[in-house]
Amino acid sequence: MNIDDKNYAHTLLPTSAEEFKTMLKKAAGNTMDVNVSDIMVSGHKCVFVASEGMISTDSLSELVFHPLMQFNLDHKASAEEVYTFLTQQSLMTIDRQELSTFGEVFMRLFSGFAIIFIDGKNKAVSLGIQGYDKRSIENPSSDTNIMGGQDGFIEALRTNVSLVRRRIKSPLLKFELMQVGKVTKTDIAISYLSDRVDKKIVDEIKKRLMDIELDTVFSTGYLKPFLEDKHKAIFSSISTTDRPDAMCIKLNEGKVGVLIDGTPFALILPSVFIEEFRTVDDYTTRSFYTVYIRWIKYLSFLLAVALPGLYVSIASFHPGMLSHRLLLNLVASQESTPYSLTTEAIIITIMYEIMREAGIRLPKAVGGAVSIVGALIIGDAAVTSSLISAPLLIIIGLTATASFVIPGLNQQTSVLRLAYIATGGLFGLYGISILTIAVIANTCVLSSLTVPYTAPISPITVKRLTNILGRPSFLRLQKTKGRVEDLTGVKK
Amino acid sequence: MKISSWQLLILLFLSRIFITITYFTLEDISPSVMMSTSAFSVAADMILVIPTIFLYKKYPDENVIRSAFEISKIFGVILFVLYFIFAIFMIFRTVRFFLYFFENAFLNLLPTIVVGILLIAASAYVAHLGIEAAARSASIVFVSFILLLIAVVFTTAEDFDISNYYVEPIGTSDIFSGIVNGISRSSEMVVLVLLLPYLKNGIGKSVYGFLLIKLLFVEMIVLLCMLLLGGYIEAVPFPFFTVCSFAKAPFVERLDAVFLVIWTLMGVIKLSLFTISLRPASVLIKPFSSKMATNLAPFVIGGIPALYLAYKEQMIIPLLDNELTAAAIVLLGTVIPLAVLILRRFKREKN
Repeated sequence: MNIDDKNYAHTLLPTSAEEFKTMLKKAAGNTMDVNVSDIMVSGHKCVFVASEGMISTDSLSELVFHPLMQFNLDHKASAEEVYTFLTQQSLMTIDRQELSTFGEVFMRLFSGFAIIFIDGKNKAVSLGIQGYDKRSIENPSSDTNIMGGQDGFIEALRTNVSLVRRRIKSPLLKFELMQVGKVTKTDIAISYLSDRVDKKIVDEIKKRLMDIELDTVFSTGYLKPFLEDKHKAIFSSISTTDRPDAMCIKLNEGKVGVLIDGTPFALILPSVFIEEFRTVDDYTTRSFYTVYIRWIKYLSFLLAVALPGLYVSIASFHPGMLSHRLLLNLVASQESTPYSLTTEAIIITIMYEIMREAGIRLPKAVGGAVSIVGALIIGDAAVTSSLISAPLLIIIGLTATASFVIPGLNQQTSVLRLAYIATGGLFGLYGISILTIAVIANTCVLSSLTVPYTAPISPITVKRLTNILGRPSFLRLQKTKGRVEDLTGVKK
Repeated sequence: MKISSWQLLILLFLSRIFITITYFTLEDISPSVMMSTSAFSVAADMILVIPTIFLYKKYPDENVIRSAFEISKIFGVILFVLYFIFAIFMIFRTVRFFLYFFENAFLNLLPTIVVGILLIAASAYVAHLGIEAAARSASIVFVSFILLLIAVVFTTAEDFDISNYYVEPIGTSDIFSGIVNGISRSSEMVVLVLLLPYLKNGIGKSVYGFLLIKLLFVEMIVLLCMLLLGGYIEAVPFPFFTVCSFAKAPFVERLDAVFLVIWTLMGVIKLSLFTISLRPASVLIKPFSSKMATNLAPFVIGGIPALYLAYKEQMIIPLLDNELTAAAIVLLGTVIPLAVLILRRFKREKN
């Protein structure tokens, strides 16, 4: 039978073991990581297939070979007897499945399953004995918390599923598995709590994922554009987290999590803007402190985006807004520098971005050196040699620090900051206003699966505002559900 | 895409209050008379808006132009042209006044042409994003405006002079001219007629809520200016702006530049609203059925002459005449909805 690496998916398994091996080799193209060997089970010929490095050798001997050796009938076993033993009688692995096409065989094979084909039966059985090397569970890298859980997602999907399941021991928590990527066949798990999620949202997510025609899917960024409602928006209506506890909190609110094999980040949707300012620690510290920190974060966001732009525009176009003493100080510091305030601000901002990017890309051991070079040597030298003014350096430094407070919005703050400096420097506060209304409108038009991205601020949902202005206590939270539907105004 | 009654209320409010905070004493009315006649003006609005409310209750998913199409295609096209001209006229008027204010309040800050182009570009962008974007943005702008107002009141409170407040006796002619003035600034009454298909529900809440809030804020702003500026109020062209220049916050010496920010945001929302309101009807007219054409045409036709006049430093006052504007608003905001309502009923009975 003609089979190759393109038409294998729907090709049915043959009856003969020799033919199975030939077809398997043709479809796999003699790839070195597929191990094929003949085994005898109670005198009946079978073919054992596994992918190198994907299975656990301990599990293989204990859960597969040992039971098979125990299966010793007083006569040569028939194909049907072996098949019945493998699928019904033996206590091998829990995760076993009957396979009838080569598509299913390769899917399971490259997911770390062992495959046993029985001569004389046009079916194979897959046994879950995955044992590929994976990173151990470590602290989350991007969403650090003090008092929350200290375990983060890793690259293995099934481990991530278990991290979530461990926290929600309820049958209400569902995981639906599907594959995305025509070539990579990347496993994706859609998770939700069935009693509080809007089924239409789950269906819509599944539909959008199934419609994806990408060849490869390696990270969250590959899927985001297909799940977002509006592609030209500055902000993203899908949040990411590498914390299982954070994901559980979102699932409890009726949201949907999407775990992707090969990446330690989960997508959460629908998501709203204000959630970028929340952390798991908000629910572990005292309410008054959480409220205080939340407002610090709101302020930090404004500073990170607009402070340099406002400084440039006020100092250049509206000096009357500043007190005389402050103005004199600024004029004195500015007099000795060769460039205009706007040019200076743009140069320092770009310099900062270069150093930040270098700090991220370099190995951690060297990354620290970049900040020393940047902050101490270049910054100090630039001010001493009067290339830039000290107040501006302070402003940019403060802005950079403020942007670290909301790491989830870092992409947006970086670009908007530069845009605000440029418009503020060219057109003053008028330019800032024009840019602001454009950014507000661009953000307001964004929706995430029927939930407005700017909810519950605009459109306003009064009962959800308390969780923005402050943080309700758990005594109150246990009475209010705090679900996604509150943001859309649609009741279940 | 639908908006809530609260969002509609805010859109209408910003559209109206933009006029008040810009130039409420450009006419011959004294602030005292204005305060006294505002209530009459709002009462007149409450009556004038009744046909629109009935039209919405009868045909909630249609605006006046679509309803006119149901009567006759020619009638529909005529109405579209009328409302289109009005939108262009209002864009022209708003842009020209915006630039006039900018030239006079912020001397030599930026070239007028640049200010105008940025304003039109931002408005066209917001209009392109649609009613939801405008309505949600308006809520944020509304909160900013309230914060500005609170900041101005608190930072100037110690300078309030009660003796500046006076009540001038008013006569019938004052009431009449007050009503005409009030209506001439209420272009949002026409916009409302066109925005009806976007409204989810609660037209009464939107419209009467808007009129009451409008009355409250107009009175408050005029009173604030009276208490602070006294006799100077009639000498300065932009009283609220002057009050903001007077206000001094802990970190900011003057609030006039902050006013500029909020005022610009409101101006963009107001301008975008004229174009957005035409959208549900424009899909029926072939040359305007593309979204790009509906969004750009009014800004190009209305905005470019305004920019040209600003460049030439001309105002063409006769075109901006209050009586003429008020008549147009009554025609498009009351008479036409009433006529459409009657004609549709007549046609239904005939069928």
